[in-house]
Amino acid sequence: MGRHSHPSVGLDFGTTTALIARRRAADPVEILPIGNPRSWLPSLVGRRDGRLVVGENAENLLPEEILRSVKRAITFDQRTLPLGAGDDRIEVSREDVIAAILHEISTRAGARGLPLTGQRDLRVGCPATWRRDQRQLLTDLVVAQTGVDDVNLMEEPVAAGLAWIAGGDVRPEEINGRVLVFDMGGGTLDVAVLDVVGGRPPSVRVLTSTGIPEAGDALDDAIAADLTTELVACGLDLDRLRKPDNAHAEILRQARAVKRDLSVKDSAPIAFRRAAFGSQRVTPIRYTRERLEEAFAPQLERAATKVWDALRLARLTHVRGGSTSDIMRTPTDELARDVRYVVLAGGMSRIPVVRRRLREMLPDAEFFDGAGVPADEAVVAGLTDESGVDAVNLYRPSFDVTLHWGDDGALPLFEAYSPLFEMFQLTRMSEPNFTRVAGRRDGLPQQRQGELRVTTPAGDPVDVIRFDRSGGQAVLDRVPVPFGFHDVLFRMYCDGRIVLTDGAGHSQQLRVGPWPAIHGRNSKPEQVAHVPEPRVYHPFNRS
Amino acid sequence: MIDAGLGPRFEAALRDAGAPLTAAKLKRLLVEDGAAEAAVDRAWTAFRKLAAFHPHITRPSRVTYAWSPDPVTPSEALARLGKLLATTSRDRAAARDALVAIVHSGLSAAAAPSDEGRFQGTRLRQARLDGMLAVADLAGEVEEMAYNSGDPDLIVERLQTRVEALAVQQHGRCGEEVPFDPQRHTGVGSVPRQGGPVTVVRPGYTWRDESGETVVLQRVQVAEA
Repeated sequence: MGRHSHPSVGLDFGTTTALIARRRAADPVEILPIGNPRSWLPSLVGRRDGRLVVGENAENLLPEEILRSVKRAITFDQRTLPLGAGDDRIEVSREDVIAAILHEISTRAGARGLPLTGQRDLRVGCPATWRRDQRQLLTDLVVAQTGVDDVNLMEEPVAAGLAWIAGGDVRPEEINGRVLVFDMGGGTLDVAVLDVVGGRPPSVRVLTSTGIPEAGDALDDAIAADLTTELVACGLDLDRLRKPDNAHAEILRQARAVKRDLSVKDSAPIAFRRAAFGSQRVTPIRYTRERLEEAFAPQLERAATKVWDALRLARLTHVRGGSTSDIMRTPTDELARDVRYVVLAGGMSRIPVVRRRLREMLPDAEFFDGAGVPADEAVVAGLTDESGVDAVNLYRPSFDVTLHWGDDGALPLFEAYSPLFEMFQLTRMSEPNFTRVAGRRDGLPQQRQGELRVTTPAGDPVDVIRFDRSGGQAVLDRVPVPFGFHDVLFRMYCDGRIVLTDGAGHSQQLRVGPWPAIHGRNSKPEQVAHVPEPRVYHPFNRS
Repeated sequence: MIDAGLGPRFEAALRDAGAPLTAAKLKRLLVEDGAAEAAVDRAWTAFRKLAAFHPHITRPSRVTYAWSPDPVTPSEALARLGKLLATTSRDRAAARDALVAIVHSGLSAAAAPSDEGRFQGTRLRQARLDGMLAVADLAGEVEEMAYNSGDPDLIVERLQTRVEALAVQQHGRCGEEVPFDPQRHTGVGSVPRQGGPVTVVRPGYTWRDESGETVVLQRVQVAEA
């Protein structure tokens, strides 16, 4: 992402809203309003007269005719989404729904002076937890709907971190330490842990990026449930409501409003619309920040757990000969000392209790709001980052590793963006790694020779460094792999080491070329660290 | 050659008429105004040729002439300029037409807003729109609260919350007694002495932008207690 004469354009296709921004070189980011009348487009799709309508045009349809949070259809691998009710209910493909939103975004951007067609540097955000196929799906849809030749996907919390680095709150040269990015938006909580070494551009390593599909929407529901309980206690008879959907929609609307009000006040009055409850009289009630925090507490605890998980995973990406179990047992106050900076992004970070809880957890860290832009614009601002940082993700490496043989034999060993390990696997590991064992049952031949190739998701070859026992090394784009009686054992570690044991039982030590850190575009690794002997046991390791 | 005195008189007559005129009517106006008929006829022959290129004269019909207070459009001006540069040379005509086409294309591009113009225009409009949205939201809130609760205290509280959520800070409350501070207060009627007791008659408001700069939107209005 070096400096370009053409602008970089960011598209934040969020769970609840979509934003577009542009940045020219070192100029401040410029948000292009694509909503009507807001600057963002609601990520909504609805059905009117048998046709899909998007954004504000879908807002006033009947609830069953609206699809909200459609991005989750990718997150949860839902191929179709239900629309309508009763006999009129249909299943709509998620591709059609998302394409409709992207098409609208592209049309509006073009009409308002930023045609996406022909943009040479369009970057789109995606959740950190998405797999390769999920990222590819969004990429394909963006390409099809905008007419651009290619799209760069960037993980949303990483984008928020880059926005902070470029935002001017701190000098990029002076940043030095671990950064926790806490991005709580409308539909998802994304947590990323970055190691940043100051400079121009700074060096950024993504130690881990994780998340849960639970954020603002879930809190709205929790407040609405709490309000409903109170209304019932005050005499509201839910069974006598002629239009319960109207009442529910009104309670949810007030829940969203009071959530916003309580970000600046300790308590706020709620006067419900009389029309929503028919003939029943509903008196105004007062909702306090304390009650909101009570309703939010279980969700916030899950978020806190995710933060500790992320910090543990971040430590694991650096373990060398240490004990995984020790790290798993590391007290939280010790984990907290790892973090020097906290960057809050996403609209939900405005809620005071979010900040307070994080401050309690991470008392020594410096807190930064919104990365120099409003919190809900941090991701799109980071997508347009022009500082020249190439963030390398150590936990979800962005390349494929495949075993090839014969004319068309191929077996994927590692798929780009997969996490190297999950928390639950760690109890069985002495050193965190990704392991894949492949043999005859996977279609591997038991004779002849194949080769291991590492490629980017776009299919470009990535160099692999092979170390021999005498200390020499060779850079290859294809690593020969003899097949034989034994299974092929592939292990990849967070520091970039790969240990490959071939079918004859011989092991090789490898390292993926651009690893673990890249300083700017096209630069080489600062140094190749010594690779220790592989931990591959007899009989697979003859030596 | 047009008679030096009659050419401008044709223009003046057409302008003053305020309606399309035929050639005969126009000439008759000048004769009635004292010009010799023969001189008017001679002058008209020359004026008629130049009228085709005049920036303010149009031809509503084949037999009438009219005066337009606004000059012709740039593209019409260019078309007239092209006719004015009439030539029998085929090469010169081709060069002339090419030049006219270039200017015409430039005029068209200038007339249509560029992408950059639309981009910045949209941003500017949104900035104004955001202000209007905030006002509309508050107005609707007050109206709705008045209908649904009718409690003035509730309405004021809700209003204050919404104002604060916009990063607008309220200073002072109506009826509050405070010492006069000329930096923050504006006296209503007489100017109170510094530190003297005053009553807030209208709160003041400040706004903090993203960079942290505080802008005074309205000073607190006070009256001597």
